[in-house]
Amino acid sequence: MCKNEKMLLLLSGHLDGCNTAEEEALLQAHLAECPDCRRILTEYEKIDAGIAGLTQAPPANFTANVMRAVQAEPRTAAPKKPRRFSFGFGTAVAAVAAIFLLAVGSGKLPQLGAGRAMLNDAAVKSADAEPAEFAAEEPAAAAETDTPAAAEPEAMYAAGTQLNRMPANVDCAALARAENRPVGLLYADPAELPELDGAPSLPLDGGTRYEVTQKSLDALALRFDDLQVFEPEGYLPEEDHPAYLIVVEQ
Amino acid sequence: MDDKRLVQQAAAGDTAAFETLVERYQQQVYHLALRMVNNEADAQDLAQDAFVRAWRGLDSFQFTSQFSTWLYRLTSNICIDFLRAQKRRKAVSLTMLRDDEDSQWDLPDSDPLPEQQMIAAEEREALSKAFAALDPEFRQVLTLRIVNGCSYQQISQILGVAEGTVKSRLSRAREQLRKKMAANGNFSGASASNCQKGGRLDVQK
Repeated sequence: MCKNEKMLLLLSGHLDGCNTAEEEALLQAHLAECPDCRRILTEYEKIDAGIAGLTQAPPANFTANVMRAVQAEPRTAAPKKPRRFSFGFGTAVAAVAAIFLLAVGSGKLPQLGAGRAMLNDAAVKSADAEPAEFAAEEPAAAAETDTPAAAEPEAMYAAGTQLNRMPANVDCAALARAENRPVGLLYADPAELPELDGAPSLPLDGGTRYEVTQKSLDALALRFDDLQVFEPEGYLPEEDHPAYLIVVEQ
Repeated sequence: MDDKRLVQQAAAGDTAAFETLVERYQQQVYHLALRMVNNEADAQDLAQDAFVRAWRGLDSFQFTSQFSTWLYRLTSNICIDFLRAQKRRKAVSLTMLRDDEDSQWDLPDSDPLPEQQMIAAEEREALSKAFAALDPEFRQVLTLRIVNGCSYQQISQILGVAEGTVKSRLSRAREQLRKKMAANGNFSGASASNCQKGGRLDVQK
């Protein structure tokens, strides 16, 4: 049995017409000498033909069902966008205040009762403070700068954000400002993110930071509703703009 | 009318234009979902969901890729989320296979299928089972390439990986499927010792 795994890659590329001229010449020379690979090629061709024949038509009422659902959609709904947070000086001050509140609430400072009450209030208010553009059912999105500064820390640390599980040595907002690039934060199993294979990465305490692009963050936003994106103030998204993605392992 | 024009009209609220897009791509989207999740009812729901989400997202589609690429990516991601939620089913869906079996043998005994058709039906069922047992990412890439006819570049955009990764993944997918078929005795090709050196090469593009 032929053990040349590179030839399997070239056989597959040959079927797709995607080998380079050099690769094709290498493959042809090998096939002239290797009956195993000739047999494998025949089997691949049979498999491809079989897969093409496995097509199955959708149910007869498929289009009607789709259009019924489409007609029921509110057409004025704003497109769903990732949660984006823009940080300038004023926001940074508010963020520091929020960190102080959370520190009180976590018991790191005296007056635990008062701190926890404040924290609970923040959690309850966070849903109401969510900027309009993140709610799919609401009309045309308000600009981010319209969001009251006092509400931004609550939106940043909204109910469900597992602050105590963030990498201890990362401040996403500060990183976005310092590096002038968006920083995505995602709680997920890295094994479920094959698109990150090969991306430059840096291990963190409890997670990993990947070098990606804005385009990658946009693609992930389609899959993960809870992806949070921190942007430097005044940032205008461009597809190829470098970005970071921090994946906190679940 | 080309996709771009239809998308522009649909984004402006023209549901008839969107319906044309649905009819144009329903087969590919449904089939991609079916091959990824191995269940007809789930595939129908997921494919429908893909089109509804496409409708919602038309405003944000920038034509930086083909509409079909964007739609297949949407479909793939919805199916991946579904599989994750289902904790990646390991068993082959019996519902789909049972339907195939029923359609093969739904004939009275007095009118048996010609032998050739029976063999073809058996081979189709064997391939269907082996395909369903592949890793989801392999089912995905094989369906995109062979059934949906996507180029390596399109697939790389859909999956968000490099073209080299697409080539490698297709190779591994074909080999995993071939091994499953061979293990089940579905390939009866000549052994190495029977092939004559320098004989005819079955090499065709």
